[in-house]
Amino acid sequence: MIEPAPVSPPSRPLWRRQRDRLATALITAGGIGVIVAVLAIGVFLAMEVLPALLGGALDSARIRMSLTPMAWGTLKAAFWAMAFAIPLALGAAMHSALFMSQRLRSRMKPTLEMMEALPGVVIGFVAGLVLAPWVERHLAGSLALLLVMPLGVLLAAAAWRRLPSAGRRRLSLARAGLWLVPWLALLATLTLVVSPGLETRLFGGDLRGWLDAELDLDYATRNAMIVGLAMGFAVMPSVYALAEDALSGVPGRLGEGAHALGATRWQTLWRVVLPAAAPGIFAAVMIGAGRAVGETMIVLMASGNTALMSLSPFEGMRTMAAGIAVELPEAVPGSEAYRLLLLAALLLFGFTFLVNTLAEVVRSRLRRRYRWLGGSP
Amino acid sequence: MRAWRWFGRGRLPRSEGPWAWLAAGSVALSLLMLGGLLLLIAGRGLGHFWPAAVVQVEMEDGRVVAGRAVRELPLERGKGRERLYFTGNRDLDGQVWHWLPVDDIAAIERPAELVVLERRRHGEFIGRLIAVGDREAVRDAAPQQAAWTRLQARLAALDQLRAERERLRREGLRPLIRQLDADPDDSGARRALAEANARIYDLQQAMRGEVALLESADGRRLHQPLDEVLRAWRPNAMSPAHKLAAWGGGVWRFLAEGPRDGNSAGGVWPAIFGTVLMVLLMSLLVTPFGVLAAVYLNEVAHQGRWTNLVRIAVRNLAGVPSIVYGVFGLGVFVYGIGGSLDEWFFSDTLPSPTFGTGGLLWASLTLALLTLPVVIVATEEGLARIPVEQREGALALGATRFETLSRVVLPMAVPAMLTGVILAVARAAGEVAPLLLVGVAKLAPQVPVDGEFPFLHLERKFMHLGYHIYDTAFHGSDVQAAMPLVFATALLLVLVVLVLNLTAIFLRHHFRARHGVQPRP
Repeated sequence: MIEPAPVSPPSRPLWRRQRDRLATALITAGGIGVIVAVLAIGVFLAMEVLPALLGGALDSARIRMSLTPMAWGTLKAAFWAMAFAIPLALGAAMHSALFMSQRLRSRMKPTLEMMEALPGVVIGFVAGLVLAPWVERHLAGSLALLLVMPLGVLLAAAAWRRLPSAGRRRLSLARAGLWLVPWLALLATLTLVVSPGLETRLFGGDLRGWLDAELDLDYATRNAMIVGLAMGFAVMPSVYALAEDALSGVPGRLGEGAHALGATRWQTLWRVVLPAAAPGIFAAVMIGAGRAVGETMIVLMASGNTALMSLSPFEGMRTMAAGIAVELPEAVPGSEAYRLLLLAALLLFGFTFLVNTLAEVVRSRLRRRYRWLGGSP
Repeated sequence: MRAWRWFGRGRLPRSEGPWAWLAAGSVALSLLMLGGLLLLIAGRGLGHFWPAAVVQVEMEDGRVVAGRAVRELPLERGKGRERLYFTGNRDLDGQVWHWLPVDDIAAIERPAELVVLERRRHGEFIGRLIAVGDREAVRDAAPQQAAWTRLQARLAALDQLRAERERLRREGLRPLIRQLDADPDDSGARRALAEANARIYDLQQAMRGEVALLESADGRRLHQPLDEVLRAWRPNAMSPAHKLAAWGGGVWRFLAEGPRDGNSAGGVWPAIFGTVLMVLLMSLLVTPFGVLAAVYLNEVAHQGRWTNLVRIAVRNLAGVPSIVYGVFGLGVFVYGIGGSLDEWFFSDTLPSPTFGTGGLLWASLTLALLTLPVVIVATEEGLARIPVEQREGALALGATRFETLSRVVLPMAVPAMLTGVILAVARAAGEVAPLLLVGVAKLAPQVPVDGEFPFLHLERKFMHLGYHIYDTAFHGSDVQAAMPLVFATALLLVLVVLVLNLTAIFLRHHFRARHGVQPRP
């Protein structure tokens, strides 16, 4: 007969168990505390603003008068930033997800992450004090650049097809992101050299005057185009990173199937991979828009801060974030101006929070779909 | 698409079409812009310290100007070009810039004897050195042969005197003043204080005695007290090695000295100090709390719908604009907590606020809150990468949950935490918008750390590199003159942020390579 095993003495002495319980309780309390503190931001803004708003302390006509130009400016700045960032970011994401070699891709991503890390104040300074006056002096050249860059790429592509096959292999499409850089730099220099002559011939040497006379467009030194360029530059890396994740996350067998049926890489991308990754790309754009709406320093330094409501890309604007940064330190706590600015902050908070939540939900759904499509282990 | 086929004429291999090339072009364009921006900042930031050649320009109408060429622009309606010269001599001319039409320039020379003096007031002087000596001796003196060597010797001697005065102030004066503050009736200390003051006064007299007789390019003379001269150099007479040494010295002074002339000259040392101090305080706050929250979310909390919601919310807070955090900091920390602190403890100084205004503590707290999501997300990612088997193994060997956490899980997650903290520091170092609301000063009269109790003054305002850029570039009196310094400051900030980010990327890469595990689904 087998002896029952002797009952082992409790393997964990009492103090160990108690210490464990205490530590767990402390971690729980601390963790919850920290999370509550982080979430308190929304609560604080709502508590400061909503009673005044609902109790009628804030006049709705006053709100409309002071917030509408700022809201308009915010949307305008974000629009131009996205108009600049989306094509660039999505193009780069498509190229690096489907055309680049693995090695190059693993170098490319950190480089663009660096770009994301550049402080807004530095970008704003360069945009407001270097780029803006420069573009004003070389308006024709800068506008021509917008046209020359894509055409130059296509020209390079056409020339590439004429190369002997050894040259084509060396300058492959997979590495085009690199070898196009000097070519584009050369083109940009040429454009800037040629453009003053063209300006003289086409616009009588004064494009600004021509814009004013013919199209009735007023050109301000610090304008929406400059802000769009600078903020697009700042927003582009985060859109790129998220879109690239979405594109490269698409299960490989989908693309392989398309290739096997004779599709080129671009056809595969356009017809198979892109539809599969569309929600992820949407999420990337949303997060980019959220960042563009809230960016402060770039707008503060490059927009001229005039509360105008115009559609023209050549005029300035004032955004909510910049308005808060300029006016809040002077506003007396509890006054109407103070509450209005807090309302603007609440709007910013609510908007970005909603947009980001939406994007996050879309992304998590997408991840599930990829697992299902890829038949994940 | 049809036009594209035409390029190929059918017999060439199948191509990917124009859109694939445009996508490649957008990569190239992004790289071009990034490279261009970095080159611009690096070039303009570092180039400023190079002792550039000074030219003497004679105009057709007989005017003579000495200065450094800055840039050239076409004149209105194509009538030739004009060139901008930095000519200094604000006290003689009332301005430091001259636009000269290029066509009207008769001759440009580079006389080796042109000197550049950096002065405490009125900025730089560019011109000739006639004589050095006592005020009476040099009055209308004939040009001295050895004026330049004498000037250098005198400047070196003055530097020594300045160091001596600074030492006296630091070691003799300040302890005595503190002693007197504690005990106003200490007659011995009072006498010692008077003696020290007298010695400093003597030193100042010794410094004040001599002047340099200067002559501008167009022949106007000027007596320059030597104690106002900080440095002197003759760029046209310097060899490249000499210039390189001067460049190194310039970079060093930029890093080690305080700003002068309304931030348009001098260095950024207080701003570096303030930034580092604030970031240090912030990481002291953010590290424990961020790790705590991440551990709670990932290891302790029940993994369900609510935890997921909280996780998403925390992640989203990383995307909330920084200015909103600034508003929160202003409303809660400065006006709320700071105001109450003032009422309770500093009511004797009211209505001038002590804690109820922006300051070091509130800035650090706000930035800690801003970067908390970054640390939480990074740490959680690291925790999730640790294989479940590690935890199960520890538990199976009889460890309690706390022991598993502290001995197995957390040590493995250290690189992830470090990554998170470094990313947080990088973000905080470059963030300026919240600081506009919760506490920086244009020119902080004192740094927030000194020898007085309690040594670290949390309520004081401080200088910050990013804010320094914003303020100097947009609120300075002569933005044009301050631009090179702003570029140098921007370069410094970018370097700091990029190095921090590179470290974080490297750490993350290293960590992934070491564990080589898939994240938990």
